[in-house]
Formats: sequence, C-alpha cells, structure tokens
Amino acid sequence: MVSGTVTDRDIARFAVACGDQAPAGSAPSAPTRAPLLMLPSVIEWGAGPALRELRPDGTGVGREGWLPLEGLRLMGGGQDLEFHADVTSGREFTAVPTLDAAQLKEGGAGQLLLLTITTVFRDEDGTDLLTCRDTLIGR
Amino acid sequence: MIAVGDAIPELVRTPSSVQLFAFSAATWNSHRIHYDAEFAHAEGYPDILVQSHLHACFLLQAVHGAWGPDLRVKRFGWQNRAPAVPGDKLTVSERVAQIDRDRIELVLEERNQRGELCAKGWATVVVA
Repeated sequence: MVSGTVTDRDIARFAVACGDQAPAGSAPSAPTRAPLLMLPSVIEWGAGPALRELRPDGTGVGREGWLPLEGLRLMGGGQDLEFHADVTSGREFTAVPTLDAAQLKEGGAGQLLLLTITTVFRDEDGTDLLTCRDTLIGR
Repeated sequence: MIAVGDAIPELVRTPSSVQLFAFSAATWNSHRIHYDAEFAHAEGYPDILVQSHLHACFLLQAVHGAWGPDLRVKRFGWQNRAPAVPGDKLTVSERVAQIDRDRIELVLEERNQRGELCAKGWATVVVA
C-alpha cells in the first residue's frame, strides 16, 4: 500500500510540467483541484529509495515493488482510469494495488510478461477517488 | 449540435528536453531513458523518450481544450504505441464515437510529424 498527501506545490508543479497553467483554488484559502492524471502519474509520493538502491536504469521499485519482478525491465503500456471524486490539495490518500493478471507472451524480440494491476486510490475517509488499471510490460 | 463521427479541433504539442526534465521531476520518475541520451542510444532509441504519462496528459489536454471547463471526465484510458523524442511534433486528434444522453464517448490518437501513431486513447465525458 502507498500513501501520500497532495499539496498545492505538487499540483502546481505537475500542471506546469504538463504544459498547463498552475490551477488555483476557488478562493485564496480554498483547496486546489489536482489535475486528473496527477495521482496515476506520480511514481513516488515520498523520497523514494536512496540513490545507491536504484536499479542501473535509474528506477526504483515504484507501485509494483510488492511483486517479485527483480531482473525484469518494466515499461508502462497504458492505463484505464475511472474518476470517482475530486482530488484536492491537503487530502491524504492511500493506494491499494492488486494483481489482476499475469500473462507470458511471445513477442518479436522474445518473451514478454504482461501484467495488469488495479490500484484503488481512497481518501482518509475511505471514499474512492480513482481506480487505475495499469498494463505493465516486463522483458 | 454534436454527432457521432464528428472530428474535434486538433491539439499540437512539441515536448522539449526541458519539459521532459520537469515532468520527470514532478512525478519523481528517475528512469534514465527520459534524461540520459547515452543510455537511450544504448537502448536503441535516437534520443531520450517522452514519458508515457506525458503522452496521456497531451491526450487529455486535447479533450479539455475542445470541450471547455464544463466538461466532466468520467473515464479515460490510453496506450503507448511508439516512442517520441524531444522536438517531435505530436498532434492529437479526437472523434466522437458514441453519444448516450449526456455521455459522450471519444476516441483519441496522437501522431508524430511522420504520421506514426505514438499513443491512442479513449474517454467518457459528460458536458454540462
């Protein structure tokens, strides 16, 4: 399980990095609504692993760190997202992933492992915010 | 009045290496394929790669750009199909696939300057 808090600064930085304007709350003290793709795009919500613990390609274990995938090179293949409620600054969340499927396939350059992982993001009250179905490709 | 099959105005994005750096920082994505050109070359790519999630952002920006602030996105999906590198001109097109009362199903494509499909997507939106 992953947990974190969405901050105004994180929201602004994500929006700017996407090429958008940083969003503002409806009033100076009002929470800011996070871009829809922020939660499913961020790899780490804390500091992440120490630099010496990163893999040679620079990656950490990410949200799939609970799976025994050492030695595989993972690539994101896509996502299917259902938005249930707004994500706003100051809100804490948890993300609970489950493995839906693992398929070994023959690709043009050898075997591929296709993983489907569903992650449900919920706020501190247990309200569903987002359901994210990731497809990961392991080589 | 919109109808099934209608094409929506395109959106064009040309990501730079600076944008890729900012996106990796904002998402805490330390994969070298997005900032280390030598690593990308060794992996068989011409340059560092646009992040898959940034392709998704471009797709969704096209939806918001076409439908305005009253849009409510209920569902959105995307798949990466081909890599893109800084300087590529990425054009997102979208088309109305289905209308069910206030719900509109959209299909999206992002192609580079050579017409190659880099990402495809789909969205269910409600327009107030």
